[in-house]
Amino acid sequence: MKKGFYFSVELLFSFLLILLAFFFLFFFLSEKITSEKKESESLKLYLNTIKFLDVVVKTNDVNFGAAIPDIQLKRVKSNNLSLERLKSLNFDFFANSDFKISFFRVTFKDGNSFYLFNDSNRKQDNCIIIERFALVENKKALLSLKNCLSDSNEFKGIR
Amino acid sequence: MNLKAFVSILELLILFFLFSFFLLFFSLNNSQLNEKLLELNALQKEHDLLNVWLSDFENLNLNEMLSDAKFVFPNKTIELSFDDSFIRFDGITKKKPIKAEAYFFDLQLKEHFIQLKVFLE
Repeated sequence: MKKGFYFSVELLFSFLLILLAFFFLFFFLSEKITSEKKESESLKLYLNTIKFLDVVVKTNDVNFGAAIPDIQLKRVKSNNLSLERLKSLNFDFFANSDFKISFFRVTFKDGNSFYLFNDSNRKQDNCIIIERFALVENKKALLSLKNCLSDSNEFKGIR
Repeated sequence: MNLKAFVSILELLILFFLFSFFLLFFSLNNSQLNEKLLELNALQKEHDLLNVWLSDFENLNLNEMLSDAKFVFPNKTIELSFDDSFIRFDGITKKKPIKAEAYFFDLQLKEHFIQLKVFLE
C-alpha cells in the first residue's frame, strides 16, 4: 500500500512537472509567434516602401519610374528625375494592397515643397517614412514617402 | 522516492527549458531586420548624395556637399572627406556610423576620393 502510494505521488509530481514544462514551452512559442507575425507585417512594409522608392529613383518604369533616360548612353540617369514623370506616378497600384500611401512629398533644398500624393484622411498609426535624395529638374530635392499598413494589418507602430 | 526517476524528470525539464530558450534567443528576429533596413535606407541616401555630387563633379565644393548632407540627414553627426580635405558637423548622434565612399577620375584623369560618414544614433 505504502509503495503504491509513493509511486502514485511520484507519478503525479512528474506529470505536473512535465505539464509545467510544456506550458512554459508553448507559452514562449505562442508569444514568439505572435510577436514575429506583427514584426513580419512591419518588415514587409519597410521592404515594399524601400523597393518602391528605389524603383522611382533608379528606373524609367512606365508606372513607377521617374529617372530621365539618357538616349546616347542607352541607360537611365539614376537620381536625376523628371517632374513630369513624378507627377504621373501610378499610386492606384496600391489601392488594393496591404499598404496605403499616406503621402509622397518632394522637398527642395531651397525650402519649397509639394505633395505628389496626400491622403489626409488616412489614420496616422502604423506608418513609416522612407526618404531618398535626388535631382528633380536639376534641383536638389528630398523625396519622402509615408507608407502605412492598411487597417486590417495593424501592428505596433515603429516610427 | 525513486532517485533515478527524479533525475530523469529533472533532465527532461532542463532539456525543455534549454529548447525554449534556444527558440527564444536564436530564432530569426524581425525587429533586428527592421533596424538593418533602416541602416540600408541611410546607406541608400548616402549613395544618392554621392551620385548627385558625381553628376556634377567639376564643381564640387566641400561646404556645399556638407550642406547637402545636412539637408538629407538633419541633426546627425556627419564627417566628409574629399581628397585631402576633411570637414565634420557635430549633430546629436554619436554612434552607429554608416560610411559610403566613391573614387572617380576627372577630365584630366586625376583620381579623386570622397568619403561620407553619418552617425545614426
